[in-house]
Amino acid sequence: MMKIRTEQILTFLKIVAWLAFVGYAIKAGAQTVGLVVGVINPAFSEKLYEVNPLFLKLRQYHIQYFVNAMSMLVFLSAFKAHVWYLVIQLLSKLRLQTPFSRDIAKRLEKVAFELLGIWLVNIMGMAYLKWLEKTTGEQLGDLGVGDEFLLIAAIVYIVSQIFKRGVELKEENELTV
Amino acid sequence: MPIIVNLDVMLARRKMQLQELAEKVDITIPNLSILKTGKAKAIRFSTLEAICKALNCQPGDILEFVEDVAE
Repeated sequence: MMKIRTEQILTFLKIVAWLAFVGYAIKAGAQTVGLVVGVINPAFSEKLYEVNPLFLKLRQYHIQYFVNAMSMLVFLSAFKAHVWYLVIQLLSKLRLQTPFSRDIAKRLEKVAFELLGIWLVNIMGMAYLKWLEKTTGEQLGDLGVGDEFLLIAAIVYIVSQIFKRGVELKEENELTV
Repeated sequence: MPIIVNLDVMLARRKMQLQELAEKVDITIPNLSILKTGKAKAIRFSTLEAICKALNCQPGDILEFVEDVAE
């Protein structure tokens, strides 16, 4: 009963992970198109999906400001899409009967580092946006990433380390005669 | 690992095949091979006792400590 429930939850999570991956991949693509169109034809890019109108205002000060701000958005969306892709791989490789494998532990660690990367890019991006706000006097908002990414990165990292130890114990157990 | 397993030496001294030992101590041949080739990470006292009984020897005849040169 419990096992069936866990398997159902994992299947549900896999579907959610696929949806999130596709969603973020589309978002990153739309933002890339918005960035390119925003450089070539700013009037048209206003009508495009996923182009931050606050960032478009930066174009009148310097095109580089707009490119940098939009690049950060693209980068963050692509990063998030990749994290979800790693989660999909993780869920596909996970076997409940034998969960402790080096591959899973490695992937968990990778997810933790990518989440930390997202948080770091966000910190740098926010500092840059603050500087832009000071320079231009425009209100630019935020990049849509919070400090919870650091917390999740820390939790996933701890889980990956526990997993690593679990793998070592399993291997030791297998090699005990 | 600095612990060397001399099971093959003892088997040769007693002129016993690995299969025969496996039958006597009730351990599978793959598991005994893990022990013989030095891949094992640990050995249970019950296994050691059974091997010593079957080969009529002491644990020291099977296990040997050799200091690692690299360390």
